Amino acid sequence: MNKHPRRNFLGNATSGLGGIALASLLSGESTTASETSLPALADYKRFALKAKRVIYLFQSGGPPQHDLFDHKPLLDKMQGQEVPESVFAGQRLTGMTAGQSSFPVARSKFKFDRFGDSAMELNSELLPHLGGVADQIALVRSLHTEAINHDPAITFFQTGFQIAGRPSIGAWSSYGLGSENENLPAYVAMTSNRGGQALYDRLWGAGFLPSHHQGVRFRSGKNPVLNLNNPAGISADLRRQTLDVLGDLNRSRYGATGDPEIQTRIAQYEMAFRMQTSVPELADLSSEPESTFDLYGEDARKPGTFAYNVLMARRLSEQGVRFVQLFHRGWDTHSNLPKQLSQRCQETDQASAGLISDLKRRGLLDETLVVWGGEFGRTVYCQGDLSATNYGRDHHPRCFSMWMAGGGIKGGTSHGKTDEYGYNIVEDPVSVHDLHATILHLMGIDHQRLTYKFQGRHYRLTDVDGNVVRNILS
Amino acid sequence: MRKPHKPVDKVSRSLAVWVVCCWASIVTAASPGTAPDQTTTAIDFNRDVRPILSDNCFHCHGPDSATREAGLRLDLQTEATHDLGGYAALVPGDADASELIRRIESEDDPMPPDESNRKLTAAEKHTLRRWIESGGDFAKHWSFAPPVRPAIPVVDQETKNPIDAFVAQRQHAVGLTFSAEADPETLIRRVTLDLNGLPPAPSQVDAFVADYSRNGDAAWDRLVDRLLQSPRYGETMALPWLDAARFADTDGYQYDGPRFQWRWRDWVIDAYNTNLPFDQFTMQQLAGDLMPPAETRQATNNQIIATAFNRNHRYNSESGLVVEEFLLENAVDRVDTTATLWMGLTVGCARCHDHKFDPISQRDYYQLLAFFNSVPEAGRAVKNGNSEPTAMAPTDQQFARLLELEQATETAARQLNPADHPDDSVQLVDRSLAHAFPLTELPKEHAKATGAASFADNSLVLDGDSTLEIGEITKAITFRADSSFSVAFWLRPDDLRDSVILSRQTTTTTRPGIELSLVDGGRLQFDLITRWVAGVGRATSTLPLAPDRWTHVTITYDGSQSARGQRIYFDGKPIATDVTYNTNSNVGGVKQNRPLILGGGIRPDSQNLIGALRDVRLYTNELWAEEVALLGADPSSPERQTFAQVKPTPAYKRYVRHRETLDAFRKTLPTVMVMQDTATPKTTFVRNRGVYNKHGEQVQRAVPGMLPPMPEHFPRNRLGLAMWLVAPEHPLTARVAVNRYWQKYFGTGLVKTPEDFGTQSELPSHPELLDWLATEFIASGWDIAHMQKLIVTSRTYRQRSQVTPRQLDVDPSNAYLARTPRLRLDAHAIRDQALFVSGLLAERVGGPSVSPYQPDGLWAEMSMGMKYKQSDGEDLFRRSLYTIWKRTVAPPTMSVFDAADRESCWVGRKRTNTPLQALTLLNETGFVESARQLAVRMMATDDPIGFGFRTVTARPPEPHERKTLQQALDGYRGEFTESPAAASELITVGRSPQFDQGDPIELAACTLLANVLLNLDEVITRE
Repeated sequence: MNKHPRRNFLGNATSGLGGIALASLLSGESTTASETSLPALADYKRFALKAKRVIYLFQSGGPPQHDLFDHKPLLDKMQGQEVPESVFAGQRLTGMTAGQSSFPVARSKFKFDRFGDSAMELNSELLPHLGGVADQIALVRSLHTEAINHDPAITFFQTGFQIAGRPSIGAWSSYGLGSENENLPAYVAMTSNRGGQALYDRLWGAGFLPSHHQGVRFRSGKNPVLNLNNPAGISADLRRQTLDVLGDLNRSRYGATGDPEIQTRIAQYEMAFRMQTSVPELADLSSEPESTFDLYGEDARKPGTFAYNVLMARRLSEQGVRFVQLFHRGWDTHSNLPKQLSQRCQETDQASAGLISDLKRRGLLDETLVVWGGEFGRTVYCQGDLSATNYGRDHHPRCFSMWMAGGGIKGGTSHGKTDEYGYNIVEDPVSVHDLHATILHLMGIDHQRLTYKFQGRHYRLTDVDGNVVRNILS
Repeated sequence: MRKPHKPVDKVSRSLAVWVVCCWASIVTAASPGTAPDQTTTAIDFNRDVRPILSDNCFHCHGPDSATREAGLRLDLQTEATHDLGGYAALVPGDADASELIRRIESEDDPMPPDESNRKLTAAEKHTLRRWIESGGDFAKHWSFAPPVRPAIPVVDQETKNPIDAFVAQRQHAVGLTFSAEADPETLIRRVTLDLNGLPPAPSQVDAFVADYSRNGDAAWDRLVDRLLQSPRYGETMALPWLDAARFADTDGYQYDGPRFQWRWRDWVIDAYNTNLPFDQFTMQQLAGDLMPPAETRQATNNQIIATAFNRNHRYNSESGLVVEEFLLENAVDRVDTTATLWMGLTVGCARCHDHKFDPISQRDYYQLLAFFNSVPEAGRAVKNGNSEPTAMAPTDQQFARLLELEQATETAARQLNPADHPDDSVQLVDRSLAHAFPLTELPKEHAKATGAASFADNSLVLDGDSTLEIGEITKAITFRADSSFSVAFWLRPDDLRDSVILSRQTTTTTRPGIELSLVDGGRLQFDLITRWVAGVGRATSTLPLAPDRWTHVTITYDGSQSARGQRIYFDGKPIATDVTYNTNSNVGGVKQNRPLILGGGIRPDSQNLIGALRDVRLYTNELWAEEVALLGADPSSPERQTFAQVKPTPAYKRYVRHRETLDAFRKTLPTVMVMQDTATPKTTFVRNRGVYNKHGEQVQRAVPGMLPPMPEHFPRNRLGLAMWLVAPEHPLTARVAVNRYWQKYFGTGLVKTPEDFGTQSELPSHPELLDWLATEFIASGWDIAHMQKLIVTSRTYRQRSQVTPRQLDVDPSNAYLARTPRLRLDAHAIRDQALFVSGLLAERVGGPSVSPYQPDGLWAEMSMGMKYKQSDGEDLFRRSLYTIWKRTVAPPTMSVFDAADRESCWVGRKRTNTPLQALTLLNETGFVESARQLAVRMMATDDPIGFGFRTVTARPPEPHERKTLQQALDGYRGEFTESPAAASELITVGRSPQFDQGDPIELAACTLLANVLLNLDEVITRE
C-alpha cells in the first residue's frame, strides 16, 4: 500500500559549497531577484572556519553574575551596608530602583569553588555540572552592554542595535554562510519556560535582509514546524498524489509563461514534502541512546523543557543547521533570587554541560561553538527587602558574565575582571559588538566586511564597532 | 459622485503632438541603472560620478564634518576646487594637476586607503579622470532638484498614454518592444487583484470578456472605474500604507500589551475610498490637530483621528525604562517614518552624526525632530490600552448616538429649576458616595487613633505625631489607576511643613495606593501610585494652601491612567497642577485590608500632619465640577446651607440620569492615540551621538537646509511642515509617492529603493517617466485614484507576462518593461482570495481587529501571559487587513508570506519562495477550510472541475489540465471510498458550517482537488 517508501532524508545532508544550488532552493532565494548586495565571498570570509555551526543558549532575563560566575568575597563583609557612592560613579539606575532610598549590598548566599585544571571559580551549589566541564569553557566576566531594560537589551544582543529593525545574528550567519542542510533551515530558534520576560519574533528576524534568512521557530513536540502536518484525513500517500498533480500543473504553467520562479516553487513543494518526514525524524528521540539522557538529564525526554531543547539543538546542529538558538526564560530575579535562581539552574546546568560533553564525545565540539548567557547582569545591591536568606537584584548593564565553548575557543580560560563589588569592569571589557565580532570571526567571517546595503548604507551586525576577543581563542 | 476621477489627458494620448525629448544622453544608456559605455558617452555627474564619490570618498570627505579628513570635502564643487596651498583636489579640465586623480592612481599611497575596505576599479578611476578632463562639473543630486515636466517622446510603438511613450523610448535603445496584450481573462484578474485585492468572480470575467471584445478600451475604462469605486479599493490601498505607518494592535516592546488604533485604519480606508487628495491626506495625518476646524464637529474629530499616524510607533511600558530615553525614541520614530514615507530620505543616519552621504547635518535632524517632540505624552506606555494623548473616536453611528445623548442632557439641564419640588429619596452630591466621616468625634467603628489625636471644634486635630486609622474601607474603593474616584475633606493646616494629609497604601516597597501631602510650603501633592517609582501619577497644585485656615479640598480622578486626569480643587474651584510623574502604565490597587490613614503615610521619610480635618468623604466616581463646587462652598454660605437641607428635585434626578447615561456611553466609545502639541514647544537639543541625555546645542524647528526653505507665512509646527511637504516645489514628495504606486503594479519602483532617494540610491530606471508622473500627480490636484488609473490603463500594464528566452537574456530583471511582471500575491491577498473563492469572506469595511485561526499557544509561549482569543463566526473570515497584529508574535500565515513586520516603517516589498509557504498553503486550517467550502460550491455546478478552475484562475482549464484534474479527482474518490473515515475528517476542518447533504466521499475528493487548486502557482500569482 505504501507507494512512496519513507526515505531517511537526514542522511542525505549535503555540506558546504556542493549544496549551494539546493541550499538556495531551501533558502527561498528568488530566481529573478538576486541578492546583489552580498559581497563577494573572498571579501568577508577571511578567517579559518573554526565554528561551522553555533548553538547559542540564550538565558533571557539576565542571570545574576554575583551568584553564578563572579565570586566577590568582600560582599560577605559588606552585607547590608550601603554600596559606596564611589562605586556607582554616576551610573543610571532603572526606573524600578531609582526610587529606592537605600542600596544595601546583597552577598550571594551560594558557595563557590574552583573547578578543573584551570581552577575556574564557579557556584558549586548550582553549577556542579558546568564545573565538570570547566576546562572546556572560556568564561568572560567582563561583558557590558548599553541597555538597562529587557527589550532594548535583548534586541541589542540579537541584532547589534537596541531598536527593532535590524537582522538578528543568526540571520546574518545564514546570509553570510548559507545552510549546510538542504532539508532544514539555516537558522532555528526554540523557546522554553512560559514564565518570565517576553520573547519576540524579531529576536530571530531577518530585519532588512531577505526574509528567508529569518530564523524558523521550532516548537516542542512531534510537530516542531507550523503546519507541518497534513490536514486530518490526508495521508502521506494522498499528499504525495496531490503534489504530483500540483507539480504537473505547475510545470505546464512554466511551459506557458517561462517564469523560472515556478520551477523554484515546484522544488519548494518537494522540499516541504521532505520536511514532513525529516523534521519529525529529528524530533523522534527514540534513536537516542540512554547515555544521552545521562548527560542531559531526564528532563530531556520532556518536550518543552530546556534540556529537551538542548538535545534538539544538538540534533539540528548535527544535521547541519548553521545557527541554533535557544531562549530560556525566567532569569529576571528582581526578588526571591535564591529560589528562582535555583530553579533556573536546576533546569539548565546539567543540559548545558551535557551538551558540551555530548558534542565532545561525538567529535563535534571542535567545529561547534556553544554560547551561554543573557542580555545583562544584575546589581550588587538588593532590590526590595534584604534578609539573611532572601534578596533580589535589579538589572545591571555595566558588567556580567557569559561563557563560550567549542569551535575555536580556548577551554579553561577566564577573561576579564570586575571590581570587588562586581559593579564595574577593571580589566578587559568586552562589549556586545566585541562578542558578535568574535562569534563571526570563529565562523570565518570578518565582521567589518559582512555587510548589506539598505537605506543607502552598508549595514553590519557590529554597526561601527567590535573587536575580536583574541584571548579566548585557541 | 464621491470620487472625482479626472480622465486621462486626451491630448497627451495623441502621438502626433508629442515632441522629441531632449534627454538624448539617457536614451542611449545601455541599461537602466547601470553605467553606459564610458568611452563613448558624455559623462553625467549624477549617473556616472556621484555614485563613485559617494561610495568611496564621502565617508571621510563628505557632508559629515566630524569625520572629515584633511579638511577636504568632495561633495561640493567649491570645496573640491578649493586651493589647498598651491594645489587643489580638483582642477577643472586638468586631471593631471588634480590631487584627487594623483591619489587614486597612486600605487604607494592610494585613495581610498587600503584599510578602508573600499577600492576603486580601473573603470571608475578612468571615469573620474574623464569627468575632470571634461570640466569636473558637479550637478545637484537629481532628486534634490524639483521635477520638471518632461516633454513626451515621440515613439514608433502604439501607446495608450504618456507612460507608454517613456517606456517605449527606453525599450527602443535595446531593441525591445512591448509584448502583446494579455488575454482579457488575465487582464481582469490582474487589475481586480491589484485594485481590489480579490479576484473577479467568473460572472464578472464573462461580462468583461464580452464587453472588451465589443468595446475595447471603453470596456477597460469601465472596469477600472468600477474597481476604483468599490469599497474594496480603499481596503486594498490601505494595506501598504498600514505597513509603512507601522500600524499594529500592540505596543511592540517587551510586554507588548494591546492598543486600539483601528479607528485610524478606518480613516485610511475611508480616505482612499473618498479619494482624499494626497495633500489633504498628508496634512491631516501629520497635523490634523493643528488644522482649522472642519465643517462639522465629526469632520474635525476625523482630522484628529488621522494624526494617529504619528502615534502608531512602538511604545515601551517596561517598568525599568528611563522616560527621557523613550520620549526621544518616540520622536525619532516619527521623524524617520515621516522622512522615509514622504521624502525617501534616510535621515535616521543623522541622529548620531552628520549624514555620511546626503547633505543632512545632525543639526538638521534635531531641527526636524523638534516638530515631533512636543507631544504631551508620558514616555512610558500604558500596559493595556491606549496611551495619552488620546481622542474619542466614535464611528458614524456612535457619533449620532453621542449627539443625541448630549442633546438630551442639555435639555435636562435647561429644565433644572431651583423651585422644583424636593424629593426625599436621593441626597444631592451623595451620588457615588462610599464613605463619609464627619470627624466631629471618634468614628464608632473600625477607627484607631494613634498618638495624641483628638477631637475639637467638630474636627480631628492632629499634632504631627498622631494619626487616625479607619479600617473596613469598601471594596468599591481600590485606588486602581483604571478606576475613577474622588476624595473630599475640609483641612486646616497649622503648619505648612512637608507632611502627609491622608493616605491609603499597601505596605510594600512599591506602595500602591494614594498619598495626599503638603509639599513645598503648602502645595498639595496628589500621588496615585501603582508601583513606586516606576509607576506614579503625581499632580501638585500650583497654589499653596493657606495656614491656620479651613480650606475645602477635593481631588478627583478619571481612571485614565494619566496624571492629567488627577485633578485638585480648593474651595470648590479647580486649581492648576504641575505633573511631575506620569507613568502609571500598570493599574496597581491597594490591598483591601489597608486602612485609610488620616494625617500620616507609610513612606519611611514622611512626616505627619499638623492641623485639623473634618468631613472626609470618599466617592467611587469622578465628581462633576458643579458637585465639587457645592461641596466646597463655605459651610455658612447659602449654597452650602441649601445643600445641607434641600433634596434633589425630580428634574435634577432626570438630569443626573441623562448625564450618567452620557458619561457611561462616552466610556464605551473607542479612542485612538493622537498627536497634540504642548502650548509651548518643548526645548530640543542636539543629542551627541544620538544619546538621549547627552545634550548638545539647542535648536529650533526648521526643515533641512538643502531642501527648499519653508515659506515665512507657514506656521512653524507640524502643519507648516506638512504644507511644506506638499508644496509643488518640493522635489521629493510627489516622486517618492508615485514611485511607491509604480512598485505596487510592477513589483519594483522606478527607483528600486523606495526608502532611499538620496545620493546612495540607485538612479531611476526611467527618470523622465518618474518626473512626468510626479508632475502629473501634482497637476491633477494630488488625485491618487487618477494615478492608479493612469498606470493600469497604460499599455505597459496590459502586456502579457509570459517571458521569452530573448527577454530573459537581454533584460532578466525586466527593467525595460517589455512584459508585465508575474508577481506572487502578497500575504494578505493570498488569504483573502482563498476566503473569497470559497464564499467564506465576510465583507464589512472597517471595525476592530479580528482573530482568525492561529496555531494554539503561539502567544502564550512567548508573551507575558497574553493568550490569543480566537474570534467566532464571521470574524474568522474577514479580510486579512483586519487581522490582529501583535508585533512581537505576528500572525504566522502573514509573516510566512513576507508581510511587513510592523515594527517600523517599511515601504519595500519582499517576495520569497519557501517550503514553509508550501506547508502553510497545503495544511493551514483556514486554507483547508477554504478548499472545503470551494468544493461545496464546485459540487453545486454541472462542471465542478471547470467551475473550480475558473474561479481561482479566471480562465477555463486547457484540455490537458482538465484531464489531469479529472484523473486526480477520480483517484481521490477512490482513496476516500477505501477510507470513509478519512473523508469525514477532511470535510469537517474549520468552524464554518458542515456540509450535511450529498456524498461525503465526493465532497472530500473535491476538497482535496480544491486544495490543489489553491496551491497552484498561477493562483497565488498575479499574472
